[in-house]
Amino acid sequence: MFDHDVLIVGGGLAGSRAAVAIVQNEPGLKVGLISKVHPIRSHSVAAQGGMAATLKNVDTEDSWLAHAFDTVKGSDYLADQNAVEVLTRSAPDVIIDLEHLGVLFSRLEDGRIAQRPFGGHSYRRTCYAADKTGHAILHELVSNLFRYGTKVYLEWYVLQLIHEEGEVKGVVAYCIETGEIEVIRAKAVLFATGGYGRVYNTTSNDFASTGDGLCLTATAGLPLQDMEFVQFHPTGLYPVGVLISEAVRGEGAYLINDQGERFMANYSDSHNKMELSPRDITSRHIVQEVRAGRGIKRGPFVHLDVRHLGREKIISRIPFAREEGMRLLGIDCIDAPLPVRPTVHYSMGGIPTTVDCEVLGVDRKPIPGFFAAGECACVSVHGANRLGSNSLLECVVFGKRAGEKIGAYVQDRPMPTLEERPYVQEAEKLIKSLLNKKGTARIHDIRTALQDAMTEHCGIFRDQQSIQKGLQEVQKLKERYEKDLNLDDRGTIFNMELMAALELRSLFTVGEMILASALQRRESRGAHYRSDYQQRDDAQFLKHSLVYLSQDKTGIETNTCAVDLSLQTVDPERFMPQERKY
Amino acid sequence: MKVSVRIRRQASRESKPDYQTYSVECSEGNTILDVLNKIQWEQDGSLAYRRNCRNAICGSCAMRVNGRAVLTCQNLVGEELEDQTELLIQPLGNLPVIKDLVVDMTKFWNNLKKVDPYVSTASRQIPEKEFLQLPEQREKLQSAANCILCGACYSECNSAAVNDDFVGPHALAKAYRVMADNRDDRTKERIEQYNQSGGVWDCTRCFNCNEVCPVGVEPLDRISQIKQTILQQEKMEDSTALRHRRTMVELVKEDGWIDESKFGLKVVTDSGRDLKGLVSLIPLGTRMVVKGKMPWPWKFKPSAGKLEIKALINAVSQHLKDQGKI
Ligand SMILES: Cc1cc2nc3c(=O)[nH]c(=O)nc-3n(C[C@H](O)[C@H](O)[C@H](O)COP(=O)(O)OP(=O)(O)OC[C@H]3O[C@@H](n4cnc5c(N)ncnc54)[C@H](O)[C@@H]3O)c2cc1C
Ligand code: SF4
Ligand code: SF4
Ligand code: FES
Repeated sequence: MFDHDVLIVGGGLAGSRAAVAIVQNEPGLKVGLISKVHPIRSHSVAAQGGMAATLKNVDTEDSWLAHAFDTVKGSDYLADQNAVEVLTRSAPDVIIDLEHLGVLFSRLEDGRIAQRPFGGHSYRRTCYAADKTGHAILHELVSNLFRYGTKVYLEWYVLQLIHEEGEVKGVVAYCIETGEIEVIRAKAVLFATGGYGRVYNTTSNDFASTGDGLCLTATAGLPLQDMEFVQFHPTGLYPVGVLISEAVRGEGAYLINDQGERFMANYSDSHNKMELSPRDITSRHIVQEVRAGRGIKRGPFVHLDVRHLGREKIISRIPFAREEGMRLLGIDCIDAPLPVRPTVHYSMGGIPTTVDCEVLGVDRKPIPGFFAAGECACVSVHGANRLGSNSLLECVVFGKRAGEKIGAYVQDRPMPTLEERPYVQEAEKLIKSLLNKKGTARIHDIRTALQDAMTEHCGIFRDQQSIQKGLQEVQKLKERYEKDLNLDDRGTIFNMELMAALELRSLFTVGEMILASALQRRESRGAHYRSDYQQRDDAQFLKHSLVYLSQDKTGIETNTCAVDLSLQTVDPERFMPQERKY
Repeated sequence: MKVSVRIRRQASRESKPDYQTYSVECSEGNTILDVLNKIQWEQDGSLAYRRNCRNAICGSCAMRVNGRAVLTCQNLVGEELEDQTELLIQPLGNLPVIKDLVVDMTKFWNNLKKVDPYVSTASRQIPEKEFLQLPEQREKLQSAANCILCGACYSECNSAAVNDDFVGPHALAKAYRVMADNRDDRTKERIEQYNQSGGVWDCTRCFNCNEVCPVGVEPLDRISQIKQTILQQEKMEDSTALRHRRTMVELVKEDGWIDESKFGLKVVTDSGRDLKGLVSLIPLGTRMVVKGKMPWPWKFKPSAGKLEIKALINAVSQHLKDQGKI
């Protein structure tokens, strides 16, 4: 058994930022960071477009309240306004912190940090590093982990969250290289495990985004919140699904249908902002165009056209997008438009927390010893739909906040006591049972079937029938997994199939949670669009949804809780729920 | 089309390596990573390799394809098959294998740590707002900052292969990135640090890192920039190593080597730590050829000529003999 004052699970932006905050504020604490991929390989490294903050370097009339309003409106009023206040008020400071740490932001002529427009934001407030913002930030943060000598469990996979007697005491972890199983005990555990894009068949997310943290939390009997809100990014490169950054539309790209029209003009909720409308709206309209037979050559995609920006601007502002098109499709966007369709991009829902990143139980009380931040958490600043540039910001604001909070929290918390053996035995049993799977089904086939089912039955458009169908199919696939799975690799050295089998458990659990949440929300809001309930229904559903395993862990239960509307006292006119028009 | 893929397999650190050939249905536009995924998903789940973003940004998926390190999610089957009928996939070089195509990168990371890879502002007055950095100041850091720490350069580095102390091209590219950052306050210490054994002068200028880097870091050019900064240091006038280097530059200039070979001039001025150091490169070069494990630059396109390098090594040793130095 290993002991740490603080154990951080995940080395992306949220986890790394938290670790740096702890070592800077409380250098005496024994911090461990565990990650199934090297922290620098975490999904955060792929973030492109940027990070919002009202630095006012370009638009001097911008304000945190304007940022807060854009965020709340973008969320379709489901965001908790107290959390949005924390997010937007802290934003300028956390950007400056990063800059002082050495992050290479793009600059204005006078040397200050540059800021650009982004979908759903009413001012130019997105700070960026060309179109590799995540890379620029994560590399600097991880360098700082090196600098402070933080203990990193490299390529260790967390198998279980140890939650007993109402508190969290540590995790059970598996070393991917050697197959070693260890209990890691800690006074506080922070989950920063990222999203679950791999639940769907087309995603901008990396292979590691399998929602493990969410599954582990749910399996421990704790609730997940707002899981029905799955963000589809409108411009996934067709057919691969990798992201063409929103920055491309920020710079002025057009979305064009087969008739050569900028079709966003044809819809009432997008004719003002056109291509810069929020993601949920833009994604829906692309699918609507395709369904109406106006996809390019009647295919399942539309065109993203940047030719009018000119060679120079394309090369200097969006080089990565150009490179993606050339590398993956052989299309140079200077000469020809790029084929795009919506791709699963972000998880608005997740582990419910307070604004101090404390994880909330079914009874809405903080679970001692357990914290969450970043994409896996639902604090909730994104509500039903996240604005671009707000997620990196969330990771850094709440990562830092979690670090500060935990640093103080563990000072007077004793090391929890626990019995190691049963946990190790259970983990050994699990690994052994997987290694002994001798059925006929390949992991890839089951996984693909699951991803197809989720995409088909709980995608951009969904209704009661499709969701119920989805639940049935997931059930069948789970049985197939239990009874008929086969593994080729029965060893314990860097067994990728074993990892995939473990991750597939996560995909099942997260998929079911998404379906169950989608079923109970009989309205359309943000990214959740019910064809059978097309209106937003504030009277019944201006609420967060909660979903968790039943006491005996055989079924799934749902519940709701209130949305924080505290900014209404600051600015009642804007923060009172109203129709979302752009 | 059906492509034949030969993969180096190794069950564990201690096991003997072996080759296994798979036949994969794919298209020219597929990436090499797509091909590996297809093998793992459809044919043989026991194949191990690293990958994550599949978008050339996370740096997980570097491997040797047809004898040369590439990012497998970046290179296309069509390109790699150009003049071959088979794809050959091996793990990165210069690092121990854990299993199949997965290497132990501990040394790679430790070497990176050695250059203090973070911008230090400790002694500076921290402003309330951002430090100013003009676009042109930032621009000169861009190519180094592109590094995704994939290890491709390290895999092919001639110096890393034979010199245990050499920190490697990735670390020195990062070193340049932090040293040249106008916000960093440790320029002086860094110059001294990178001037030490294991630093910039241990690079043999084989050019491989520039050739293989998938994101245009051109580590060798960054190394040269550090060297220039070191050589420009007035305050280090007294160091013997530096004096030797200056003498060397003069020597070369007087003797008219410039005309003989531009490449020669660069090698001598840049990688000659001192005369002894330079001579030591000769047996090193020979050792590498004898061992037969080093990919010489002429394997790559575009290549520096084999004869040119040989002639250069001969010329250097001849010159030193004439001077009575060996
Ligand atoms: C292509 C792309 C572009 C984006 N661009 C932007 C943008 O421009 N602006 C913006 O605001 N947002 C953007 N986002 C969203 C943003 O990048 C993510 O939301 C954010 O990076 C998530 O960071 P994180 O720290 O929460 O998690 P991640 O970076 O996903 O890290 C998760 C970590 O958890 C670890 N982990 C997970 N499960 C386990 C386990 N079982 N055991 C051990 N370790 C585990 C992983 O190894 C990893 O280190 C983008 C997303 C994508 C996909
Ligand atoms: S310098 Fe290039 S090849 Fe070397 S690690 Fe960095 S990105 Fe990879
Ligand atoms: S040029 Fe220098 S650093 Fe680059 S690969 Fe050759 S020896 Fe290594
Ligand atoms: S998979 Fe990330 S760089 Fe290739």
